[in-house]
Amino acid sequence: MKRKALLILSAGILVVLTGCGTLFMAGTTDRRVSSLVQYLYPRKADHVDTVATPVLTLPLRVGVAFVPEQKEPGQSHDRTDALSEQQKMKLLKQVSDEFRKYPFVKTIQVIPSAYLRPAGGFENVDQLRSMFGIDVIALVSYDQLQHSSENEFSFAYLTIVGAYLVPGQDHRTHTMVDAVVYDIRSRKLLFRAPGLSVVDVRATPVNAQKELRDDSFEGFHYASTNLITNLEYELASFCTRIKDSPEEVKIVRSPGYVGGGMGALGLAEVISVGLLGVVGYYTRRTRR
Amino acid sequence: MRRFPFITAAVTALVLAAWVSPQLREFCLFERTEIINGQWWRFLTGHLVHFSPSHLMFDSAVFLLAGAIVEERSRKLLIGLLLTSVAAISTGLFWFAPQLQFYGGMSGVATAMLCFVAFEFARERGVKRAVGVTVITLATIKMAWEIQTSRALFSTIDRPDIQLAPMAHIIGALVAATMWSAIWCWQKMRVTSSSPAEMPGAHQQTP
Repeated sequence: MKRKALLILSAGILVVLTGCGTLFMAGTTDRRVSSLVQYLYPRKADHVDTVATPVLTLPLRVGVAFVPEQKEPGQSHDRTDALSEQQKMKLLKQVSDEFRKYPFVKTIQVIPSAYLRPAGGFENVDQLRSMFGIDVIALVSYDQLQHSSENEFSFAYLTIVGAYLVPGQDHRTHTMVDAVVYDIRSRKLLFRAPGLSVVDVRATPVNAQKELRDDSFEGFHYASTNLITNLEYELASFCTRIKDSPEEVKIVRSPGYVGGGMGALGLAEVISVGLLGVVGYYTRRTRR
Repeated sequence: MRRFPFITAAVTALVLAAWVSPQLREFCLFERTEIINGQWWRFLTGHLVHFSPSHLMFDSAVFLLAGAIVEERSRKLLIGLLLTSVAAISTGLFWFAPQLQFYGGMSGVATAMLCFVAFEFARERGVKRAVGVTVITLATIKMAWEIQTSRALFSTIDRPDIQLAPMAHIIGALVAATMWSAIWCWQKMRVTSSSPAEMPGAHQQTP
């Protein structure tokens, strides 16, 4: 009788303290990609465009758009994109603001995702050109890889309480957001700017999916900030490059368009004014 | 007592703000068509806009240093020089350079400040005179070279759609020369009428 009671008690303790086996999460990997290569060259793996010198007609008309997300084999087609349309528009606006800094950019069109066909190729880009009246397009793509695995604290999942309290999951989110600027007519890549981020988080297995979604959002946020910084630099470098090596890109002005003007000060003026300041300061001191 | 150059610092802060904010830059840019369409403020604010990091860096550095020297002498003088040069450069570019669709930069105003300080130095004695005359001579050679060749000397324009507008510097230098001459004549007239009063900003100069 006593042995029977002990057995029942042990079984009861086991039920209360032992976690469910399903709480154990083996290492999982999830990838969200909107591949530029897949979009522009969908069927032609060995495709190479003929080399042509791009001719940019000033003032430029620029379009900015997101490359459609690519569904990986085995992924549901119902799965929503990693970025909502609102988030995409926000990032595209930031990208277009960078172009807007340059007065030689006449118009900037933010092109909604609905106008880009998955694997549409340059045929789709040509359609956008005539639809939106653009010469140059900045295509923004992304690649996000989320890896989740258990760490040394995951043994605590043997208890139900441990699964709620002990962060035994390591979540790592790698994000790359890439802006590539193409001259549509010559199909030549003018320049590109990447944005990268890595988010490392330790979490409990409870609400793991929500945690991963938050990490994904955070990863995109940091990568986008990095992209904008790099884009600003790359745009300025591109302007210098085409000035220094005109054989790379030919610049043509539209009839009636002359462009702008500016005065050019340099180190000589800075030295001159510095000299005036130093001499003024020391002559005044010696007079005192 | 040395005075902090508040106005120079404030104008430089506006220049930096126009660089950082694309909306402000778009709002301020001197654009011929927009001015004709009634956006008159661009006539004055266009000088705050810069087109490249090097353009911003050199213009701001020269304006900040030269403006601080002028403001230390007299704040009224700085305001007068600032407003006169802005108005004169914009008017000159609008009427005499109709091919320019847009213009930006503090370089014309900075040149006015630099030349004014150099003129002030040139009328003193010793090292100050030597430095002042050298700066004026170099500035004149540079402007003559730029107007002759349409190419920038000692600096580069790193934008494919923008050309050199040497007229802005010439107008700036002319404004400085005119204002300096006017002040000098006014000062002379006061001295001859035996008034001990000082010219605006001349309180730190040698008798």
